[in-house]
Amino acid sequence: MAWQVHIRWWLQAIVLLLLQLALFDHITLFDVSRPFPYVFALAMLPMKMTRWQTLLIAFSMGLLVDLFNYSYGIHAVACTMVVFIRDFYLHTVLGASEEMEGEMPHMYNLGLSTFLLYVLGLVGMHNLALVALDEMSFDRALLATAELMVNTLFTMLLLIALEIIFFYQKGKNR
Amino acid sequence: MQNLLDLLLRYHAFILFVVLQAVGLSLVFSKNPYQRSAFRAASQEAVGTFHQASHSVKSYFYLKKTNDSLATEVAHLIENEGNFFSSSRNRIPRSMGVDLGLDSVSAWQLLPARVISNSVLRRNNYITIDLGKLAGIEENMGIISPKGVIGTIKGVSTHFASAISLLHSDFAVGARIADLGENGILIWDGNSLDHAILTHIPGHVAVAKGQKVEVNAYAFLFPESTPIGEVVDFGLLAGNAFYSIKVKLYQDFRNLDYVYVVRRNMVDEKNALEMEVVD
Repeated sequence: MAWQVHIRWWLQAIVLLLLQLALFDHITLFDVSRPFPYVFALAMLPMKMTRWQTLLIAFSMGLLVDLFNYSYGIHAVACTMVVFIRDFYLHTVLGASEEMEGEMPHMYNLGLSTFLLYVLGLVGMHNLALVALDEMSFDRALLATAELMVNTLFTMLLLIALEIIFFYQKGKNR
Repeated sequence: MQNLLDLLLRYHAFILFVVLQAVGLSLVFSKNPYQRSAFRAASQEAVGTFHQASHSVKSYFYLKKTNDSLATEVAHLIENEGNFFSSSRNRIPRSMGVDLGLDSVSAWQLLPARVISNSVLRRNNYITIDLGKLAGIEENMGIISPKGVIGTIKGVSTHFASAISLLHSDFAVGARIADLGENGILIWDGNSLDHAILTHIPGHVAVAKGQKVEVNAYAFLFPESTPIGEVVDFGLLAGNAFYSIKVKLYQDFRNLDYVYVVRRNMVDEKNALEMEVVD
């Protein structure tokens, strides 16, 4: 049922956002990195949602995170970008089949390697936009590059952990 | 007309994307304080309440550290007979027996506050504290801790206030090298959480490692002699006219908890006087 998928997505997105704002916003790693695993909610958006819906959802989600971070639009821009390239990236670049329409993209329906590339692409894009808009100059090029790499890796690890704990087993049982 | 509608319908996702990006980017690039403060004003109370709730959980994990730092602060206070920030130079010796009435009109008032949200990793970092308009907080008040200068308040709502941290590209404070009395300006170059840069110190001065850097007499928002850090490295800029001095900050910005908002009691009087002179 399409609407059940949508409700599941909303619940998961709210939990992820709360985790982001209450927990992950306060974690700093090696003095360079702060993870943004809330982007997982955008990666999980059901494939059947229309483009304008996903764009508006991503924009408002980013704006919400901006409010809590004093970042004035940086997350909104990054999230909108991620959602905009998502379909193209998943179907055209990674060649995922169109059969999973209506489902959320997960490890069990994408396969391990496609899933990893999918997550890497979105997380990398998200962090690239965040770092570029935050720095806006090459003053701290080295620091920014380190931040981009550590952030992407750290967020990837978190997403894979979340995926394995919450979604992998459930998918197999289906 | 039909064609235009078809076109809009066909590319509606792309058009929406462009519109949203334009809105987002205009927020990112606007240096217009009005736009930004409107963005914040709508949400400050809700965001502040959320930060306070998450801070009240988080602060339990730092109880020991907080206690230790408060104990150190008390010890320091006792040692200095309560004269925390005033250096011996601008203190009026009581033994002179002259009552200037200065005790009753202290120039500075410190309002204790707690930091409920704080960022350190970005090029421009912000702090939220748990005092607002109700506590008498206003824009452009300084924030200090016993270990140094923390930031400047830029936005106030009923119960909360947000501030730019010392770790922000817009932050600058008048500072001097305590031993030499040479005045300069302290800024943050974004390269290290523990270091700031002291500029405008003339090249002929005998700067040395380990010298203490503190707030100078011209800093408007912070009490004179508030500590900042110490010199760890220095080099002459091209032309040998000025130094660029690397200052190790006493305050560790990763763990901010108890801070003081600095309220200047006679600020209106001073402004009025200066306006009079200008006129």
